[in-house]
Amino acid sequence: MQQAKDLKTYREELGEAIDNTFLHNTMDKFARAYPQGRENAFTGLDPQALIAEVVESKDSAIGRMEELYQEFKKNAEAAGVQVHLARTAAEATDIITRIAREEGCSRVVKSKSMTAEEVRLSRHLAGEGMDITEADLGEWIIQLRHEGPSHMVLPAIHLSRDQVAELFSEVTGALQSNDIEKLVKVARRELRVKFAEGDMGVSGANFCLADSGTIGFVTNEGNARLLTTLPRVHVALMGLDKVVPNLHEALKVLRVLPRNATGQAITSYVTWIHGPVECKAARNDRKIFHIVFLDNGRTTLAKDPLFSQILRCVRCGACANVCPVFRMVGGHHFGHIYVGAIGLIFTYFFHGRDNAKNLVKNCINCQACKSVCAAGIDLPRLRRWSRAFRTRRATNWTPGC
Amino acid sequence: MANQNGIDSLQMFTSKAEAVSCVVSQAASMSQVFDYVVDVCDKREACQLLIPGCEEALSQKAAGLCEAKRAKVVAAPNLSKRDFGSLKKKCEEKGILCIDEGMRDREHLAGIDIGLAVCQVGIADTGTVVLDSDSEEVRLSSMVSEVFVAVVDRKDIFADAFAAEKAVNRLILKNSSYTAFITGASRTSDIERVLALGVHGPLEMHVVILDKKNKKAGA
Ligand code: SF4
Repeated sequence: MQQAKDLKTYREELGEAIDNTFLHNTMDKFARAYPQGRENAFTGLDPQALIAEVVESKDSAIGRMEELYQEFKKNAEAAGVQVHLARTAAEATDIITRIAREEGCSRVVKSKSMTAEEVRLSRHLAGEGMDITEADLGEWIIQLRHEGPSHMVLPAIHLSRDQVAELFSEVTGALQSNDIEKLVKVARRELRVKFAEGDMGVSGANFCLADSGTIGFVTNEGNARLLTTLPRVHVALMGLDKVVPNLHEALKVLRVLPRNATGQAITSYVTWIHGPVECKAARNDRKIFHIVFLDNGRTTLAKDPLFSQILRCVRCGACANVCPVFRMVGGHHFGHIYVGAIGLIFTYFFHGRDNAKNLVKNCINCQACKSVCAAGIDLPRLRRWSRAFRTRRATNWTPGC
Repeated sequence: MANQNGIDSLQMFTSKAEAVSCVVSQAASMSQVFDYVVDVCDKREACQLLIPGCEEALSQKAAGLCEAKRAKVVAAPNLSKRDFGSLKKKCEEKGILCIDEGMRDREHLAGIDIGLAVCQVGIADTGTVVLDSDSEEVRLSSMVSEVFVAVVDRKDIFADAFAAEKAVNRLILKNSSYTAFITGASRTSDIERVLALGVHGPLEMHVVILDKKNKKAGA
């Protein structure tokens, strides 16, 4: 997480990052591999046409976000889900803490969710004395290291296998080799216990289908399937921007998201949950299911003629992957919580201008992010505007906390 | 949509599923599917009685869960009673424990050898199967198994997700539902972007395409 107090400290930190050879090589390798993987994944398809469909679909949904949210809520509640709306980050963490208390949960297992990062959910629940485990491998690694993610899709990309081996040796109390396959197996075993013991699973969502009140999420590891199955309580947290009218519109996003994120035609798992399903650990064998929507400025953003387009973002991470500055310094110095080109703008709106002030200077206006964005967001232009807001204070916009 | 259920969809499905390391084969009957499952399970080496990861140095707690397993296990919770009976018989002949419930038991949560599930839909252009996972047993057996075997009827394979939309919506729109698109084994690239399979769920995925008209097919 970038939090240098002034530009001078920030520049010093950047210098250190540039001198970090491992980071440098990793980012370089990634920057070279990503475009090829993306191109392969789109073979035989017209990426710009598919992106244009995402743009149209998301714009239309953002234009009627409030109405779609109401429709979602009505349908989800009819299916037996409790739906909450948090105005701010603090409200979101309070709601989730309250749910945990009321249901008597203390062992939380969580999958990767940028919205949960946005509200600092894990830190908050830990502060409330709860035992919280990040179940995504990369997230678990950085949790054990007390770090934030350095990339939206690859949160531990800044770490080497040696560092992970050292970390796992500490965690297991047994010496671990740096063989990646073995390290993954160790995580499999250590985390399996956490799923078995957890009483509350926290997931995000990539899609909320208004016509049925269904949530959908994409994962490769499958951790979210275990943590929405074994614990008796499931809490899903997502931004209001995730509501789409129906499955058809979600499928348009699904066609682009994995291809743009990791060069996959589809992720290993795409999960759709509608209402409280069977859960043999819960009363009456039914899952206790809460859905928490986060506003945190999204309703105001949706009405902004220029900035509403950032709500199209599907969190694919591509705008970081192609950014030459990200390649030089890595995610920890190129974002507050949200990383990459979109991070420069999200930080401003969701985490305040103070946290964004150094970051926005990073853009060299190369336009690489604009051409790769899964949601057709004009990132360089918006970045210029948010910078203008910062310097002239010429806005009546109140950024989130 | 034009090639729904046609040869094209079948070939497309096979090549896309193989591209994500699935082992794809065909069968003309459920009985052939069961022979295939028993064969895969039987061929797993005796040392694989040890659950993946359990040979590693683990914390005491994680190692504790490893001690739970006693025999080779196949779980098939969504078969018809009759089909389950015939699979069970074939398993027992080989000394394999065959179950259709109880996945939450500690000894099974630690890991089972094979999870078998009949899937409702196939999506050719991504090599995906769609599994009605409303039942907890189905969800767990397809996750904690080391090898997941999915059966999909050839006539249920659609060209792409949009062609399959109606069928998928039928699954989702039930009163409460849990629907899974599954495409290959559980995977991660979180350490140095190196692909590793089986981080949480199956290490291997097999798909058997059921084509009752194809008498020659043999899984
Ligand atoms: S702004 Fe675009 S490229 Fe960046 S994460 Fe969002 S959708 Fe992906």
